[in-house]
Amino acid sequence: MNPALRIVDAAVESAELPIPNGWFAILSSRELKKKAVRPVRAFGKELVAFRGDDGRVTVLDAHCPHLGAHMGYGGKVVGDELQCPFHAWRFDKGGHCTHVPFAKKLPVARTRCWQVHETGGLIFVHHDRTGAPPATPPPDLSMFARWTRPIEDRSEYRGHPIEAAENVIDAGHFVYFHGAREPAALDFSANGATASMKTAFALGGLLSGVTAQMAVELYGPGLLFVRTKLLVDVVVITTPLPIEPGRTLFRMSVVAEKPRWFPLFGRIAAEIIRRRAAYDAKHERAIWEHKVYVPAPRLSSVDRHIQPFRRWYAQFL
Amino acid sequence: MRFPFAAVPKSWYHLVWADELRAGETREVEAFGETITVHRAEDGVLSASPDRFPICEKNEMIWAYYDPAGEPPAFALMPLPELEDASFLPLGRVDRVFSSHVQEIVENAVDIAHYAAQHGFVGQATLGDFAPEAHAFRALVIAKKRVFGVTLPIQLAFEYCGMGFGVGRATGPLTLSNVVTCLPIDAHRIRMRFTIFAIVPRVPMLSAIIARLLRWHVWADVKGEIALFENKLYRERPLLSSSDGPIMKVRAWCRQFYPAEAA
Ligand code: FES
Ligand SMILES: [Fe+2]
Ligand SMILES: [Fe+2]
Repeated sequence: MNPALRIVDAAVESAELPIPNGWFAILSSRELKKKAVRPVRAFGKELVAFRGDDGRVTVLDAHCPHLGAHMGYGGKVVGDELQCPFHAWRFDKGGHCTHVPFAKKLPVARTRCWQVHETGGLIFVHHDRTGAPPATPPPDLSMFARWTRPIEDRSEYRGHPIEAAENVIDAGHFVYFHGAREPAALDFSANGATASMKTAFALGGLLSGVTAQMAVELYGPGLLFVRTKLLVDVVVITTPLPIEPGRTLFRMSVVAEKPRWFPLFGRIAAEIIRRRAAYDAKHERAIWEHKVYVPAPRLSSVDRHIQPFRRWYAQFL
Repeated sequence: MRFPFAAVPKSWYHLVWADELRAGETREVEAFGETITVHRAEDGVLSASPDRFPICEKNEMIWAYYDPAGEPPAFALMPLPELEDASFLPLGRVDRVFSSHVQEIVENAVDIAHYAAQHGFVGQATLGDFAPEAHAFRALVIAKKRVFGVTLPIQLAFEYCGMGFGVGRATGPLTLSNVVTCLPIDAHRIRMRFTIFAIVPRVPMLSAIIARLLRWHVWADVKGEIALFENKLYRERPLLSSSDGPIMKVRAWCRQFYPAEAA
């Protein structure tokens, strides 16, 4: 039988990929003010994040080792420690119990502590299914420090975080989704935990004749930049977070360079791109929600980057 | 599975308050994973459908007895002396549905370590005694509590009868009884109800204000705890400290209400 004529049976060929290992953004910095405590659902687990008096963020397993209260609901920051709402046991930044009211002897109690890195207005934690330490350094967004303040956008979809990443290297869909006249010319290269892709595509319709430039940089499974130019450089910082198997929180944060000639223009450019990106994401989400992940897809020559991309992504699975 | 035991231990459970079902009326109650229809005939006789559960009227409430094996009730409901005592004024009721298990509410009563953080007790509460007796137990909590900004000595006497019916009686400068009844709705949710009585000075106007404040206080006292129950994990092997109450003893008492494990 001609393999090209095989019909893809979703029930047989779709695969449930595991939650990947790597750095993932769980919150934006603005969502966690000083002394704030927040419940976080990520990687199929219940976590609690808090910011101590010293401004540092700590992320712990949420359920208290004592009688199991979720410390994200009603927990309080005392100094740089977290106090459980139920019986007021306190836990330090390493997750160690430091205080039990009225106890004659401090029990040896600990709740798991996650590696945290805050950069560029995002709070990242490292996830590894086996508990191994990070193989890659945490993401660094300090290069955007002098750019515009990030404009944030978030939504959820049913599906794996790979969908958000695979989308940006999928040349064929630019025609249908992003107004390109023909499949984009892509240039994909991978290097360790990072990968990049450059594309230039001719726009159709009203903008016919205009060439859009786009560069994508992927840093592990939890962070990707989409760089475009709108007189100034604009970057869509995208951080897909696996909330639980089959559910992803898709967070976008758009920043732009502030041009010397008119700093406010940076803000305008970022807002234009954010609208466009949010619009595209909304429509693409409908596809991601209902598609299945086909491990052995039928590909055409336009799709030649899909397999190298998947080989690169496999290191995180 | 959130809880390591059956959703409905065998016990009597409060279906409706008696005044919610007048002669000739029918009411549907979600309980034990199904809908139970209770009916009071014109002559006052109660019936329920499905009719697998024994029902009775006691303490101005209508109850159903649940036993997975369909055995007849193993115990009777305790009386409420507050109903016979004219000095007690009914203060009001609370009725809330949330995600938890009836055993969490039972354990909470003797969890002396939680009174400071959850109920505004000042200092360490002590347990006067914990006395399990067949299907019932009594426990006495002695402490100081801040009520409307004033620190007062307080004694809380608990009496439980099965897993669905408990009374907390506060004495001190104030005499207040809270009848706590919990009904398992399904494998995830319970319905917790309070019927509150107190001795308040019978001064026109003043007693109404006091009643209102106390009702508000009782509700404010448990409001925050509901979010806690909804999100907590049930730890089968908790890490306890010397300041904890008889958690494992009350768990041992609870075990009699579950079918023996097929080991
Ligand atoms: S459950 Fe956290 S202190 Fe008891
Ligand atoms: Fe796209
Ligand atoms: Fe309580």
